[in-house]
Amino acid sequence: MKPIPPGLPDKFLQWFCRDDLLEYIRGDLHELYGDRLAQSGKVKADLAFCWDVLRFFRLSNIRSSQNTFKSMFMLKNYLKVGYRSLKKNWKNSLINISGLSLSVGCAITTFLFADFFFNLNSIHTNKANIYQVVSHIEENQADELYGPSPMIIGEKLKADLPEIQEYVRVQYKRGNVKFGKNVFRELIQFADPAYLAMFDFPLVAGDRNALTAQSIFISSAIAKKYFGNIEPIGKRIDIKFGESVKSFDVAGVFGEVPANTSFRPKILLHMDQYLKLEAASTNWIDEAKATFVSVNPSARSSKLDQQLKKYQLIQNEANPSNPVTAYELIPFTEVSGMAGKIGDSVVQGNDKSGTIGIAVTGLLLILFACLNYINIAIASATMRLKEIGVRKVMGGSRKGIASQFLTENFLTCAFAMVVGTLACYFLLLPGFNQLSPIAIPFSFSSLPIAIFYFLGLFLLLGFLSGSYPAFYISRFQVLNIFKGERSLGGRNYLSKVLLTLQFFLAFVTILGCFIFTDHAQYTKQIGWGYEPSGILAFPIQDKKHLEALRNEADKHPQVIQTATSQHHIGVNNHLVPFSHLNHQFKILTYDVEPGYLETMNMTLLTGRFFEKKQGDRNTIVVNELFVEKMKWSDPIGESILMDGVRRTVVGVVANVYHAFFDNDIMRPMVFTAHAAEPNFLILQVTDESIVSVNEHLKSQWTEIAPFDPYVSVYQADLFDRAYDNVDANTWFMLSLSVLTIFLSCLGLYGLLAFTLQNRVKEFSIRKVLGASRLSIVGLANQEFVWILAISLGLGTLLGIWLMPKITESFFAIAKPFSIVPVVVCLLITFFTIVLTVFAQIRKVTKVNPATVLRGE
Amino acid sequence: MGSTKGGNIGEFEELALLVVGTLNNNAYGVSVRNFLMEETGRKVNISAVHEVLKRLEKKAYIRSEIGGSTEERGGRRKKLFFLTAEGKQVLDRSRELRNGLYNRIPELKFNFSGLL
Repeated sequence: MKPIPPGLPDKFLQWFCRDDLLEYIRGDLHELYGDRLAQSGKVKADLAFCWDVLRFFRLSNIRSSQNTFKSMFMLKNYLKVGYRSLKKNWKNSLINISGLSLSVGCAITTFLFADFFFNLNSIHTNKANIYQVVSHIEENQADELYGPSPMIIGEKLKADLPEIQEYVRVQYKRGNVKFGKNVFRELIQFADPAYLAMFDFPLVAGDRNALTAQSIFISSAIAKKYFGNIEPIGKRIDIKFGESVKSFDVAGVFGEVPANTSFRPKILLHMDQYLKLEAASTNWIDEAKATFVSVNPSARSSKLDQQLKKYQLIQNEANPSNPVTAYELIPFTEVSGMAGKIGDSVVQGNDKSGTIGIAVTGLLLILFACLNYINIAIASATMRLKEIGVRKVMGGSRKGIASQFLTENFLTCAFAMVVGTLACYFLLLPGFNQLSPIAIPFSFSSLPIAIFYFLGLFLLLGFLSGSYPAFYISRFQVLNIFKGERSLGGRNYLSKVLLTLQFFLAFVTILGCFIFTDHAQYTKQIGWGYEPSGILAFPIQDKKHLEALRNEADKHPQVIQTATSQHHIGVNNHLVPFSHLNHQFKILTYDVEPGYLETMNMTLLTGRFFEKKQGDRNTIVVNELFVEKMKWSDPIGESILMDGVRRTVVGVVANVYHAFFDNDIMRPMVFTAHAAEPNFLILQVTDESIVSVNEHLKSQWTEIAPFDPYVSVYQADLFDRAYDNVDANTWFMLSLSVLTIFLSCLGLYGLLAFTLQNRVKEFSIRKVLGASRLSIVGLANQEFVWILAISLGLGTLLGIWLMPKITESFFAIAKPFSIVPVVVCLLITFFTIVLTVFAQIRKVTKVNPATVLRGE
Repeated sequence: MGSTKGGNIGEFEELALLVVGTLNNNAYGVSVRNFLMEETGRKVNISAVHEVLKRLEKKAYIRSEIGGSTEERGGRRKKLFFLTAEGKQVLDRSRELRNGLYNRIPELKFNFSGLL
């Protein structure tokens, strides 16, 4: 009985080995295998056989080394013919390649995005062992994650648990930073000295261990801003927090931090400074914005979570008014993927599902582009049937023809890759960055990933789009081609279903975009409840400065009136608990000076505004929503208990926005006539002179407060960020709709070309027999009408059902439903489709039947 | 060609050449390998044997013939190798050279042992 060696290596040998050597080599190997099998068993014999086959895999034994010349020659021919056919159908090729390029560009952009977010914080070498202590709290009967933690918890964890190696607390506070004449208001980070050891922020100057209570670390951008070209190390910077001024010596300058870092220090001070400034102490009540701990790599965190239970009990006892339900150690690498889930988190990032969603969108785009490409590729190949036939007759093998079409396809794909990469670099990524809050650089996390991605995309694109047409085309029988019996075009159910899906998605996106834009316009138009254009606000902590600036403003002829306040609508919205009939509420409360409401152009509905008299200290003005909430029929004279004082309602004002595009842009509001510590100066100025008043006051400011930066807020610009956000979303949806409709039309174009190519003779005969042009157009579009009707119908239904839900989450004010955007969308989609179809159909209707039928 | 160069061949080539000569009429890949392994105690891969035989044939020290097929080879034929006259010459020359050099060794050895 002859032993049979493993099949795969044997096949491999047959595949690569030169024919003149194969017999002897194979014979020898099989003989050896038989000997080994008898001597040392199957496993060893199999392994030895594999090894021997591999050893024979050398240049002198490889078959193809002899055919290189021939295949090189053919390659040249393939490329030339491919180039000619591209040139001949340049319109088709242009559309096809641009569609492919666009999807490649999108795929690269989305990959950059995903790569960026999956490799956040790569500069921190120890990041796998860093955890954040996150609190679970109960809010509205739901479990919420909350970033800040008690000041003391890090210290306790380190002392009690041997796994915890080090802890770092992080806090933030704003202060006026001054060096020489440069004064700016900055966000200052406070941290324990271990911060610089735990996180690997690069230092260009100074020593990692030099963070003391008196020293300050700054970023190189800050160094440039304040010192210009002067060497910053050792310089003294003054920082004003509230009333007190402190001096710090620059002990270190941070280098460039990569863009994919979740949080970065701009100005760093020692944690002790924060504790002193806030009169806070290391206890269970005062909070650090975040506590990070580094854990011994060998420790298991599941056991740690159980041990954290006891701290929850201690905390609940120490701070019963804000109890936590649990503490959890969340890996630093995961915290950045949970942005939005952890309240008040210091670690920026993107939601993991969002990142994955974007990546999947990119893949889908590529898939659709490939499917369209397949349709068009097959359609254009039908125009080359004769060429295929001739090649076959001349001895071209099926393999040869398949490889010809694959080669052509790879060439097209390479071209699309180049154009797509350029499009990504110059157009898509910058555009995307403009819309998103984080600028993503055109760089990959590592070179192998970049190579792997580009190569993978290229191969995927090439094979996905090329293999089906190539093998489909190469299968044709020569005889059938020349007899004219092209068995092309089957029923193509798959392409039709996919096309329907594409148009459906495209239409939903366009509809979404329209409804969104329509909503945004509507919300902008209906106004804020007061006229913001003439209002100028100044946040000023120092009472002396505030009074001085007010005197200066009162002197100015264009200033209509001025007022001060402790809180300010839209800038400082403050929630205050109060009680009414044994019910506890939290309500937006503004402590203002009498005159604030008039200055803010508020509309009085009933009662009166505040008057400047002693008796008004305990009166309040409320808005309509508050009256509604209290279910008062006659609000004037009603009273509520707030801060232990009974306050009487004297007036009701119209609702105003305190936020924008949020879920609750209008809330119940209470205004009290007692601003104990005014923080804001509010001016009402004539509209046209608002800029000149601002300039004038700015010039006066340096004399009033040399130590403070000049900060002014145009009330009208208050919601600009929200507007920008909405505009960005609109743009994003608009580009996505253009892209989807473009790709869908491309698919339609391909499928139509395919069908018409097959039926051109039929149409010619019909024409000869007297069919009208219109009836031919009808016949040609018959099957596509159904595709479009189904996708647009379903799209409309889904759009109408879904869009209110989506806009609801973006916009607080619902626009009354109108059919206009849906109709406009339908028209736009319809015309795009007609435009796509028109060019193709025209060919069929215009063609002279004689030229088509003559061939037979 | 090979002979005009003075018949410079490597050690492994020489061994293979000797084996082909020894195996007379039955020298093919597997038999050469097995013989080499038995005689030298070295591990020899079959592909190395094929390579060296290919090289020797190119240098015309051996010639090949298509041999018969056997059951254990799955009916595949063998490539049998035979020593050529040139091959024999190279071996002779090489042996002469070695013997000449080798013959001087015992004298040295004798001298030393005589001192003892």
